[in-house]
Amino acid sequence: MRRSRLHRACQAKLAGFQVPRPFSIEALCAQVARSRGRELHLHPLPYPHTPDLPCGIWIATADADHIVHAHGASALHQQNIILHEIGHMLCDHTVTAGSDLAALLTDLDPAMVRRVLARTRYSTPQEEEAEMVAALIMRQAGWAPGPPRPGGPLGRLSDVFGLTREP
Amino acid sequence: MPEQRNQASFAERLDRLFRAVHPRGRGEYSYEEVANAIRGTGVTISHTYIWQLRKGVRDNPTKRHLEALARFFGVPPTYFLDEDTSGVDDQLELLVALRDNSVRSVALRAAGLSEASLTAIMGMIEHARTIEGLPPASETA
Repeated sequence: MRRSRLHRACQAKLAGFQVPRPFSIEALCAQVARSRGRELHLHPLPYPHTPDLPCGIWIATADADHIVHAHGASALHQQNIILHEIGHMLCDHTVTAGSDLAALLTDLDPAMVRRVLARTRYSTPQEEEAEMVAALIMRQAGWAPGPPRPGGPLGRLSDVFGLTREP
Repeated sequence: MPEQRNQASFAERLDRLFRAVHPRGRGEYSYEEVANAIRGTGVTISHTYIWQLRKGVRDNPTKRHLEALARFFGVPPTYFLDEDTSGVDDQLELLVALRDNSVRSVALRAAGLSEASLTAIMGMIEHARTIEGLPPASETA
């Protein structure tokens, strides 16, 4: 039930957004940048990816958007890391996800952190939204889902979108 | 170089907090602001005394004052007492990087990130800023 509501909400967010054809990550990024009126930079993770580093980060500064992504286990995996972060952008998640910040700044009082960063709000369902939007873009682009994995469709989603730790 | 972290005095620690903990778009909290906020919690303290503590003119504050200052700056009271404050200092540095690089938002899955990854994320923010051709964070007011 909950999942279908999320699906509808994300489809609404994608309404009016033309997935470029032929589809490529570069074309998609160019389109996102145009629609947001801000530059969008892709950077490979400047460090070797270790399990304790996130595999994708979206950093929005005052002037531009940056997606820092790990080199995925496969090209598809890497594209999905980038798509997930674009999902955040298209959903207008213009906030620092509080749960994430709390996980980073464990010793600091969250109220103080909010005060210092001013624009910050809390959120976690944003992760789900970003994933759903990424999945919808994939579908609109006519991309086949990834290779079958044990654990059914949900397991596959988790795998593709990096919900679970890489082995 | 920030690598060398000798045990800092009370004054140095309080100074770090003043410099790190203030909202985006304004300067440090004034001594009056800090004193007023602390008095609002029922603890008697003067702005002159806070100034003296920061400048090292006075040290050895009471437990009550120490706790009130820690609460105001949002750090655990042990920040003033522990020999090694590098954990909290790393977090304060990242907070400052987020604020001074005009980072509006960061979205990432952070479950179980280590302290090493704080540094990595800070590196990514600095890198992003370099790409934009903006001056490094330290030059920003």
